[in-house]
Amino acid sequence: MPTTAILTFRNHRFAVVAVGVGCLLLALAAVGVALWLGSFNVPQECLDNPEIRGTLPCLGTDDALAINEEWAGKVMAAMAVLPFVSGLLLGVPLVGTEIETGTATIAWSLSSSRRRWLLARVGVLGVTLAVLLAVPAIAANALEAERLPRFDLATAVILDFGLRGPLVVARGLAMFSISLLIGLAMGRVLPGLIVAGVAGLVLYYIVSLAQGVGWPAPEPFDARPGAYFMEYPHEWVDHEGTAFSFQELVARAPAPLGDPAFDTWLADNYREVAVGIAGERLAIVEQRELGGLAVLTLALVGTSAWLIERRRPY
Amino acid sequence: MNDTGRPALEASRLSKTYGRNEALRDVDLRIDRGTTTALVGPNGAGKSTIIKTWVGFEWPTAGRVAVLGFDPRRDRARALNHIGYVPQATALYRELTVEDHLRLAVTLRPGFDRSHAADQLRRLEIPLGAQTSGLSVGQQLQVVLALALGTRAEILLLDEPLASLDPLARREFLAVVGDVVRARGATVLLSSHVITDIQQACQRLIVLGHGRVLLHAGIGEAIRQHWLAEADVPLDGHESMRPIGDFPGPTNETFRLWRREDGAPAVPDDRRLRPATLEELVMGYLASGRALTH
Repeated sequence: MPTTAILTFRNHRFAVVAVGVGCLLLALAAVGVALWLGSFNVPQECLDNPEIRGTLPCLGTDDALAINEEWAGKVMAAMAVLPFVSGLLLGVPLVGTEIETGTATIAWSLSSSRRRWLLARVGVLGVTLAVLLAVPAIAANALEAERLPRFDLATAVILDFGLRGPLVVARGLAMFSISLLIGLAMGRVLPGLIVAGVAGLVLYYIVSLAQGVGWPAPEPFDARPGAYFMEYPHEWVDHEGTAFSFQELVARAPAPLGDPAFDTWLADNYREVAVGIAGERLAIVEQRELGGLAVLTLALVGTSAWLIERRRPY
Repeated sequence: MNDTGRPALEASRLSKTYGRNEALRDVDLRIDRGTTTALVGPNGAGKSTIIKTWVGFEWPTAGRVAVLGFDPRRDRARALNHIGYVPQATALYRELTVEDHLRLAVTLRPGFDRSHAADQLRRLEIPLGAQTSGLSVGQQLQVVLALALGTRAEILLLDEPLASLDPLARREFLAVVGDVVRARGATVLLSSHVITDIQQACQRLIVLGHGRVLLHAGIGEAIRQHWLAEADVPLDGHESMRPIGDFPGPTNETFRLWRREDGAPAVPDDRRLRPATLEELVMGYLASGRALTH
């Protein structure tokens, strides 16, 4: 097995180094931005009350929010792309290059089991990909904890779902297995990269749709009030726990919107709540998607193992 | 399975089509163990197709093939265990050294004889530490041959290995193959366009044309049985001679290949006939194949 691993690395060193450098740079960026944001040490009251941001303890707040918006946002956006590109770069050439350059002809004539030949290489590069992606996935979790406004990740609506933690690895492996199958089926690297890229986008869309089906239903829950209510769904519940949208409350209110009586009525009778899946349920949601992606990955690798026994090596 | 009585390679009513193109049509072949056989024919004759069917890279459209009795499609592992294969395009891993190729072969083929393959390459002064991308075409082919020989397989399938080699490299290649045949009694099937080299390297000849076997015989026997005359010369009184095919000579004349049927005199008493060379014999059969097709 060590010989197989060494030779597989040598054969695919460009892709392995490219993915490794990408993962390392993104992990460093995530940690760097997290430290940068942390260095401002912005007091919570400066975030809650924009009017005091010109005062001494809050002088760095605007800069910190700008870094949060620009740099942390970019790092998280890159986290969406990284597993996609990494899986693509390692998956398509794994067999595609061998067929395109003709080396599969020699390898498959020497190997009494093409399936074993494939699975050994899938194992080596799959484990490598998982380890490499785990580094930025952990670093992104650290960045998330420093993002502004500071949320208690355990109680807020799930933030940046799938852009941090184990799902980054699972999505990368799913993309790797799709790319593997397409590279094997097409036997050409460049067309394989294009087709697998499109297939990856389709998969991303399907996973997004499946999330609505497989996830727990969003529900109102108490979360720390703060600026995130501006960005994430929220409702108002009455004393019996019935939820209303803001438009419904405007229609029911005894005074028009803007009248101080409206604000009083609202505060006396309703409580603002977040609507969604609380961060404390993140593990459940992650486990469901991890399970789905694991099944998909295994099915795609299994299909590749079936196909390789039937495919010509050229 | 006791396979001592089985032929090394077998094809029964083998047909292979690609879309509308018929690469092989009802081919029946039996290649005995311990023989060295040349498989000749023009481009598109089906030489590579039939070899790839034995390796298990192509599946028959109809009929069956066997390697020492094993069907390469249904029992690929056991069939492949008996085969060392040199493909037409000798693509090696550009990123790996020669030594890496030997190590790779050890991981892929149980029982791969690394030291035998390495000795083979050292004898040819091919450095094991060299990147394969830096080797000449002939050296790369020798590396592929060493991989095939390292398998210690009983059957060597060599798919047009000579085409891209210079005369010296061809001689070296054939010398190595000859050593293996002598040392191990291996069965060798060598497909080639290069007629001149096969006469000394092979005992038997298969001429394949347009997907059919046009001739399968011992080379010496085939040469003794075939004669040549100019095509426009009538050969009266030679009922025991059968015309095979007409083909152009080097100076615009047309020659006709004749086959001496059983019972005819070994040397016809006719000055218009002369013994055919192996190349002329092949040309005559290829011409007959074309005529059959048209």
